Amino acid sequence: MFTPAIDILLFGAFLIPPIGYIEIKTRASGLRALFTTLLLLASLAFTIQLRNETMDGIVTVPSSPNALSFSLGIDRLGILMAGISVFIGLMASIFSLRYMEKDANLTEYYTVLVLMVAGMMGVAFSADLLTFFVFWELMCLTSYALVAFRKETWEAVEAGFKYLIMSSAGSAILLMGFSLLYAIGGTLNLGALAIAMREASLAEKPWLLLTFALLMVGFGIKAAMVPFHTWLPDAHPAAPSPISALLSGVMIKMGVYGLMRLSILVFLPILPAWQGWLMVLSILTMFTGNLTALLQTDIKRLLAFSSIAQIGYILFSLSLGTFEGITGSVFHIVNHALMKGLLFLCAGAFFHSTGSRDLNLLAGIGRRMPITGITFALGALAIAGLPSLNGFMSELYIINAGIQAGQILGISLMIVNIIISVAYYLRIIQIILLRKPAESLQKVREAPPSMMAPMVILSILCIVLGVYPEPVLEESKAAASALLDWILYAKSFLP
Amino acid sequence: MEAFTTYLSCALILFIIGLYCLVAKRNMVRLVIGIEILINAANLSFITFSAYRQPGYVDLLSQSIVVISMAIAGSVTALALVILLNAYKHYGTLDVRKLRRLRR
Amino acid sequence: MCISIAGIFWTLGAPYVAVFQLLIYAGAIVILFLATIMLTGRDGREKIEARDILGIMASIALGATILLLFENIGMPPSVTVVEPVLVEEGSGKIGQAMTAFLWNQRGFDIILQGTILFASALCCLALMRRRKEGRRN
Repeated sequence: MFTPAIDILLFGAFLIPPIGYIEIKTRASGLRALFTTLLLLASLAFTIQLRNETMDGIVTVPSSPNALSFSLGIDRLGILMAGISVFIGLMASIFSLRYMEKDANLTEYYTVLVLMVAGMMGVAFSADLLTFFVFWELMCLTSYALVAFRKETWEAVEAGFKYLIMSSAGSAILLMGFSLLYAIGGTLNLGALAIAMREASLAEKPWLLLTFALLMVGFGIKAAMVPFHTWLPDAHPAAPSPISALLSGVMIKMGVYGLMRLSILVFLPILPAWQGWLMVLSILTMFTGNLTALLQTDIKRLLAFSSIAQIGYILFSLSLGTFEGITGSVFHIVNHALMKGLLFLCAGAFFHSTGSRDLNLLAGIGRRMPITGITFALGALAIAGLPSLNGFMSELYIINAGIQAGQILGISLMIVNIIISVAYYLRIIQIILLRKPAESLQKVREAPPSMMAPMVILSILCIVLGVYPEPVLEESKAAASALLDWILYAKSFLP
Repeated sequence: MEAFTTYLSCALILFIIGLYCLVAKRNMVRLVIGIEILINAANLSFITFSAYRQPGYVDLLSQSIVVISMAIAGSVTALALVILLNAYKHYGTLDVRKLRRLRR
Repeated sequence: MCISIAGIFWTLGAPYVAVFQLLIYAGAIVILFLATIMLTGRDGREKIEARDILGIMASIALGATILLLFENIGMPPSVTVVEPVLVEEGSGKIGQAMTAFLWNQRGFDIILQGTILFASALCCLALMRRRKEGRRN
C-alpha cells in the first residue's frame, strides 16, 4: 500500500467502529480517544523515520504493485507538511479526550478525524494529480462532516452547508484545471508535467493562463484567499475546537501547499504572468483579515479572521517566487500551525468551562484559569510578532525575502498589516488576562490536565522555536530547495 | 467546426452554467445540483481530451480519472443532502438566503 | 442531463465510463435528490425575477462568444513525456483493458476511493441519527 505512515491511519480508521462498539457495551470511556492518540503517535513515528529516508532523495511509491506509474513522491516539503498535520492532529486528539466526552456520535468523530489527518498527509505526499485529488477529496469530505458535527445547533449546520458548497465548488474547479493540465501534458504525474511545461512553447500561453487561473481559484477557495474566504469565518467557529485547530492550523495550509507545488514545480517558467495577480490578492487578503478582525466580539471568529490575514502573509511570500520567498512561506506555515493551533485549543478550553465564546462574557477569565490564560497570551504574543517568539522569526524572514526581491511597496503594506494585527491581539490579551473576572465566572475552574497538556506543549514549542529557530529554518530551506529542484523530482519518476 | 471543438465548448458551457447555478439560485437543492453540473463539466472535458489526444485511440488514464471522480462526487452529494436535511430541520425552509443568522 | 452526457461518453469511445455515469448519476444521485425533495416538502415555485432572465441571457451570450472564439482552436499543443496507455477506439477490448488498467496501474487509488465511500457512509449515518449516546448540554 502507501507508506506505513498513511497506511496505519487508514487501517486504524476501520478499526475504530468496532472499538467504539466495545466501548459503549462495556462502558469503558476514553477507549476510542486513546486508540486514536496511539494511531497518530505511530504515524508520527513513521513520518520521522520517512524523513530520514528522504535525506537521500525522493521516496517514491508506485500506484499499484508492479505499476508503471507512481502515486506518492515524498520529498522534504511533503514531509514537513505531513509532519505538522500529524502533530497538530495528535494535539487535537489528546485535547478531544475531555473536550468531546459529552458529545454523541464519538465513534464517527474519531474515525473521521483519523481519516482527515490521513487525507492531509496524502495530499502532502502525492506526486500524481489523481492520487492528489482522491486524498484532497478525502480531506475535504471529512472536514465537511466535522464542521457540521454538532448538528443539534443551527450554527454548525448552516456553516457546514455553506462551507460544503463553496469547498466542493472549489474541488470541481480544481478538477477542471487538472483536465486542462492533462491536455497539455498528456499525463498527470507532477514530474512529467514539470518537464512538459518547460518544453512547451509559449505559443499556447492562453491555455496555460486559463489553467493557472482555474487552479488558483480552486486552491484559493480552500486557502481562504480573498474573495473566496467567506466560508472561513463561519466554519471555524462552528466546528468543535480541536477541529478548528486542525482546520485553521493545517487544512487551509494544504490549499497553499497545493498552489505552491503546482505553481513552482509546473508553472514557474511563466512566473511574470501570475506573480502580480497573486501578490495583489494576497495583499487584499491581509487587509481583509486584519481590518475585519478589529471589529469582532466572538473569540473564535476573531481567530478565524486572523488566520485569513496570516494566509495573506504566506501567499505574499509565495508570490515572490524566489528561494527566500518560498522558505519564508514554509517557515511561516509551520509556525502559524503551532500558534493558531494553540490559540484555538485555548479558546476551546474557555468555551468548555464557560459555554460562551463572547469576549465580553469571557473578560478576565485568564485569572480564573491561569495556565490556559498564560498559554493563550503566549500564543497571541507569538502571532503578534513579539521578538524571541516564533512568529517574529518567520515574519522577519518574509520581510527580508521581500526586500531582497525588491517588493518595497508590498513589504511596507505587510508591515502596516502586522501593526494593525498587534492592536487586536493586545486587545484580546488585555480582555482575557487583565480585566477583573465577572460574577458569572466565579465557578470557573482550570482546564483538566489532558486538555492542558497539548496547550502547554504547543506554547513551549513556540518559545523554543522563537529562541532557537535554526532546526525548523534549515528544514524549511531544504523543503524550498526540494521544491525548486524539478530536475531531481522528475528524474525520480521516469525510468 | 470540428467535433472536438463542439465537445470542448459543451464542457465549457456546462461549466459556466454550473457557476451561474451556484451564484444565482436560492433553493439549496439547486445549489447541490450546480455542484453536480460543475463536476460533470470537468468529467466531460477529461473524456474529450482522452478521445482526441491521438486520433483513433483512447487514453485509458483519463477514463479512470473520471470513474474515480464520479464515485467521489456521489459521496459528496450524499453528504451534502444529509446536511441539507439537517438544515431543513432547523430552519424549516430550503431558501439559502434565509440562512443568515451567522451574519450579524 | 446525466443521460445525455452518458450518450456523449459512449460516442467518444468510453463505454465503461458511460455505464458508470448512468449507474451513479441516473441510478443513485437522482434518487437521492428525489428523496430529499420528497422529505422537505414543496417550497412553492420560485418567482422568476428580472434578475434571473438577465443572468440567463448573460450566460447564453458568454457561451456564444466562447463558441465563436473557439472556432479554430484545436487541441492544445501537447508534449508527450510519458507513454500513455492507448486502446483502439471502437474495439471491443476497451472494457477489458479498462479493468486491467484500473487494477494493475491504479489499484491503491481505487482502495482509497473505497475509503472515501466508507467515510461518507459513516458521516451520513452519524448526521442522520437521532440522539442515542449521551446528550450534549
